Amino acid sequence: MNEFHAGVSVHLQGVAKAYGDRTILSDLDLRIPKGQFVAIVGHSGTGKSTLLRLMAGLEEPSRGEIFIDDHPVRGLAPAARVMFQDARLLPWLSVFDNVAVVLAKPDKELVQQALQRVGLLEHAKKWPAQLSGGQRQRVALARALVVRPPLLLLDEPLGALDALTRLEMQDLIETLWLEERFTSVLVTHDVGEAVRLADRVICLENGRIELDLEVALPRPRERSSAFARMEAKILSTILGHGKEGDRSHYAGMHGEVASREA
Amino acid sequence: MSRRNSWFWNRVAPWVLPGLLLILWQALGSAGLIPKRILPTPVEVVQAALTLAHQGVLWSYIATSAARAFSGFLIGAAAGFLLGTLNGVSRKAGRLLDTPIQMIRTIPHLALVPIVIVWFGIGEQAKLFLVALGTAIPMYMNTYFGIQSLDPGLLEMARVYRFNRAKMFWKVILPGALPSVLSGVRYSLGVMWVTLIVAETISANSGIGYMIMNAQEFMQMNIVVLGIVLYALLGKLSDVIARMLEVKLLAWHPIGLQAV
Repeated sequence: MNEFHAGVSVHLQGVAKAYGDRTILSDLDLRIPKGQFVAIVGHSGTGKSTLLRLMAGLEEPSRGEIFIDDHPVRGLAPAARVMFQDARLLPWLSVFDNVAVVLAKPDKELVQQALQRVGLLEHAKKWPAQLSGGQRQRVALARALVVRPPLLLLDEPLGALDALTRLEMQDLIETLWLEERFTSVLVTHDVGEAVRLADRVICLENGRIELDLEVALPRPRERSSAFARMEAKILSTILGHGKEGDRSHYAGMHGEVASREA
Repeated sequence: MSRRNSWFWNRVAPWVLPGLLLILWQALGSAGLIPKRILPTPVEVVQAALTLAHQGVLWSYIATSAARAFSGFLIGAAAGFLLGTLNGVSRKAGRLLDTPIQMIRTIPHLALVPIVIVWFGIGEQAKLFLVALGTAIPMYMNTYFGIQSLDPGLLEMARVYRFNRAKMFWKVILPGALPSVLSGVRYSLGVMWVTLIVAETISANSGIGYMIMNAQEFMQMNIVVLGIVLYALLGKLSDVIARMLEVKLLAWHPIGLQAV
């Protein structure tokens, strides 16, 4: 495997998704090059998670086509692994076995490496119920990365964590991504998180791309004035499309949208 | 609370009232306030147990009843578990089979005793059939329910990670349904003893039920009471075994972890 191009490219061509007569996504065109880290932000119910599920092949588009490395996605996308908002660990398997279970062939060393990378090797024998929320998400991250997927889809994986744990997890995700350069798509409510992690931030509003912004800040990213300007720009795009009543959600917050995806 | 104090409340306290009751019962019997034909004293019951044990018949009665109970349970529980699993895993099987099984469930299986006697006579098959039928229903219900109430998030995770059918069943479905299956086991064990007692009381020529009915004819009340106590002890024993299974198999469960 080529070290620096471990990822895949993702191409959405005129993708639309509707449930009954309710349109979630309409005519989306998007090209994500190999190895790029893309963040998708926007209001609840604008189809961020749906977009992610389409890329994973968990759902089929009503119209249009999704290509991963120029191959159309039919059914589950073999390249993709998903990290959900809840860790979704199997409670009856130890931490070690939760990572090992996704491998087609048992490989103790590979599992230990993956746990080492997320800093949980010494907890390998514990049950998931004995871990904190942040530790559980780190196991989920180890499980997602143990197969070295070329495409990692992150569906608000840090949304349920406390602020400090969230910062640690952001560092960890960035470090692992810099090492392996898989293509990464992060859905988040937290504009600060998007600017901190992503090469490119996409604002999704009413099923359309309202903003496609490159974040060319040096890594690791500190809160600088350039950082703040990026955040402000993204927020004003989201706010420009928010309903009047929604504005209060953003007042005084660090670019975090308070409402949760239903 | 001091350590000795908590030891008393944990270990001793639950037995205080039953112990006092036994002493009172013995005292009233010895004083002649309870006639022996109505209720023998605890000491007389123990004496009956010792005599029968010495003759060797007690063990053969217990062994016969336990063998009947557990072979009926094995057949019934296995059938209930397999049907519950089949209906839980296959939507089509569920559509086809669940309604008829629910219809059978509404019939109290002991109401079938007259029919069962006509079908199988009063031999071993009748008892096995009744126990198997009685235990199959709760096992079926709990297995089916356990699989249906699996966390859909975990099932989706397993799809994303491309678990094959075998891995899906052994690593996700079965362990996920296990807490419910094990409460089915406990419930079935209770049904097992009730069914056996009824079946043995109606007709038997061996086993605890036979011992009780035989003793009743000769007004040996101490043996009658002994039989009832034996049923209670065997019921308690199977419940303890089921509890131990739960502790061992559900070590991962958050509730179990708190207790450790």
